[in-house]
Amino acid sequence: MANKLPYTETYPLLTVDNVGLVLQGKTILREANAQVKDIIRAGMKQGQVIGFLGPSGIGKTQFFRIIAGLQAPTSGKVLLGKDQHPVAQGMVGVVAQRYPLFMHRTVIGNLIIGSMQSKSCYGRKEARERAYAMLERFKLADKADSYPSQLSGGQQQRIAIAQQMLCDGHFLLMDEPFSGLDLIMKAKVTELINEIATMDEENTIIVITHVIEEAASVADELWLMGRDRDEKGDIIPGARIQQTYDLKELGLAWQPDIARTREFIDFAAEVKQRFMTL
Amino acid sequence: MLTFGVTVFMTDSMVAEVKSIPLERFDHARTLRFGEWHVLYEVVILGTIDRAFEILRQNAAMAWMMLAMVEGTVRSGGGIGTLLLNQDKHFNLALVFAIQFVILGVGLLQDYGIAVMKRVACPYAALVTEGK
Repeated sequence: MANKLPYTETYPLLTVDNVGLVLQGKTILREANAQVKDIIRAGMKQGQVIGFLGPSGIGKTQFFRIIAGLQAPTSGKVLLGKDQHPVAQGMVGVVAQRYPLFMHRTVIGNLIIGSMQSKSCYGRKEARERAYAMLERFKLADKADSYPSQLSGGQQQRIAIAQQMLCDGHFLLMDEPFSGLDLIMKAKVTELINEIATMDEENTIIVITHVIEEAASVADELWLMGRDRDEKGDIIPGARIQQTYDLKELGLAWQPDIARTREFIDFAAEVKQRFMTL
Repeated sequence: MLTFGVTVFMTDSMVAEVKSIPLERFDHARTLRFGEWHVLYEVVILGTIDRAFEILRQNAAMAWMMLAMVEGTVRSGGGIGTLLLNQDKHFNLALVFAIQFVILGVGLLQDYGIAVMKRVACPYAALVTEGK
């Protein structure tokens, strides 16, 4: 057993309760259930990072849109926060694969508009101050007056994350954040995700990826989405979360060099094997 | 006739432009708590204004060429098209060429003017990505 770090789990922050989705007569999701609980670690703010894995075309994006309140499920519900209120548009930030930003606004303009849309209703002056503070934090202060098209992919990604965090802050869904990045950039994104996760106790990040090692190296829990099969071996329409792996419990979370350990390599191989059956 | 022709082309091009906005751009605005009118303003109007200038540029070029043709068809209204055909009828080739050069010059000037307007109103449209 790897080195398990002490932690406790308290109240739920995100609950996916029996979510089903039928689009144009086709069952996309069925009975999807999952829960994220607040993790408490002594002497630090520890957010939650979930790695979300599933084969292409299985319905991950639709599931994401439901969690973000952008798509109403056919059945079931998604509940958020300590008080477990139903999700609505704007409560969950989404950083899509191509990091959409307002290309007609400068970097600071993008962040100000994100800050002004916050539920705290900041005025323009406060929103500007918060935006500059966030730029400093993300080490992009010198890019304040640039347009997004003048930034590299990695910088655009950071701005997209900063914009979503200024708008609300606690829940963030990231679609393929490692896609198309080189090794150095991947390490930086991992560092960034860890940094966001430790900014606030309630910060909860769900990361979609196809690469098991990437998901496992950044997450404290893994969700695997797949479709069930009947007795004959035929696929039953509609995906659901078939398996979750608690990396905290396995002693594989929050350790920077965990990916090099024997336990992690064995674990990744096990998940890969399971992934092939989804 | 000219108004009809240009309106049809322009509307069609703009509709295609708006339809080509990916769903993720709307989703992005909605995740920032934008209401539907705000989404319309930020994503559809401001988000496509640079392309609208480009469509305007193309349509203005077509309209300018069509103007001469329409004026030649409906000659009672006069205009540069009528002038061109009248001079052609009397075989005044020097004037015909002069008028054609004027049409070309005004067309180029109009095109340049719209390009300048686009550069001023949408400076981001001409920028290239540094890091890619």
